[in-house]
Amino acid sequence: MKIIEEGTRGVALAPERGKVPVVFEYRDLTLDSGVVVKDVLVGVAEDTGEVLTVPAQSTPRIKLARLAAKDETFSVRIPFELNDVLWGVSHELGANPTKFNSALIRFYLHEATDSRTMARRLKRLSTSDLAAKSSKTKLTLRSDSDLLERVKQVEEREGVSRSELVRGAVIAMKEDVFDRPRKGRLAQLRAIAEAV
Amino acid sequence: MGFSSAKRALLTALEAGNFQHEAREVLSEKNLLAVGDISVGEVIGIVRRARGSDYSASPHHWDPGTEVHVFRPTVEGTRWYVKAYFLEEPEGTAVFISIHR
Repeated sequence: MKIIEEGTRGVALAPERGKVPVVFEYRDLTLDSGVVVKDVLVGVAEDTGEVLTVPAQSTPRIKLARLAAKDETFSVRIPFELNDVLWGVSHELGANPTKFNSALIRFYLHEATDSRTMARRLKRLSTSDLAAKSSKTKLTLRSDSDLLERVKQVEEREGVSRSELVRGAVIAMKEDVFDRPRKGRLAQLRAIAEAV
Repeated sequence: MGFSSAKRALLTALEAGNFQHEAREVLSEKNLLAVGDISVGEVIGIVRRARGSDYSASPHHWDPGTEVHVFRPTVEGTRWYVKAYFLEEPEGTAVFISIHR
């Protein structure tokens, strides 16, 4: 992989002007969809500052910015007690709840899209006493649109709502961490806790 | 620079990571390699499949002295469009204008 350093000079083609000198700088780059990639290496015309070229090494950051732009937030209402469970799981695994709670829910939703057994488990747990209490608080989560599309398929296939899946996921993590901990599942959750 | 030389130079640039992507203040997302929708390895595979009949060349609108090479190979039933030029022909940095299906 050829790495171009900031400040490197070269040439590029400019509209109506042909070859012009460029200098490589870290700048915000706009894609034609409007997504802005922050602080990425681009070649800019030395005289006008116009972005004329993008080196190969900038592609991973462009890809990440496009993926992040596809993220969606969604909100579900849950009982206060389930919020306490989420915070308790974060505390138990030594994670920062701000990011970990969302990552935990995404993990269980992903598992449900991958396994009918998990999908049915979440559906069943969503009707447990604790999950079925009055939902008085709102939980806002961020997820990539691909996962949400797959979750939608689970909702339709299993006849369950997204709120029910999330409530079931919180009860499932309570079982997996506190009530009936299993080594394998705990290891997965600890890995997520360390990653966020 | 004919088909064989252009194809060889493009493959060399791809294999060496010696390539960039043309921008016009904004970057076109029709350049699937630039935005990471396809990998360098996939583009190498696409260009390797190009035959002489899949190739054309014309001067760049912004600089008549720069030749733009277009490869349109068909890979597993999909027609690809790869458009690039070289800043220092024949074996210099490749600059991709567009890579899409």
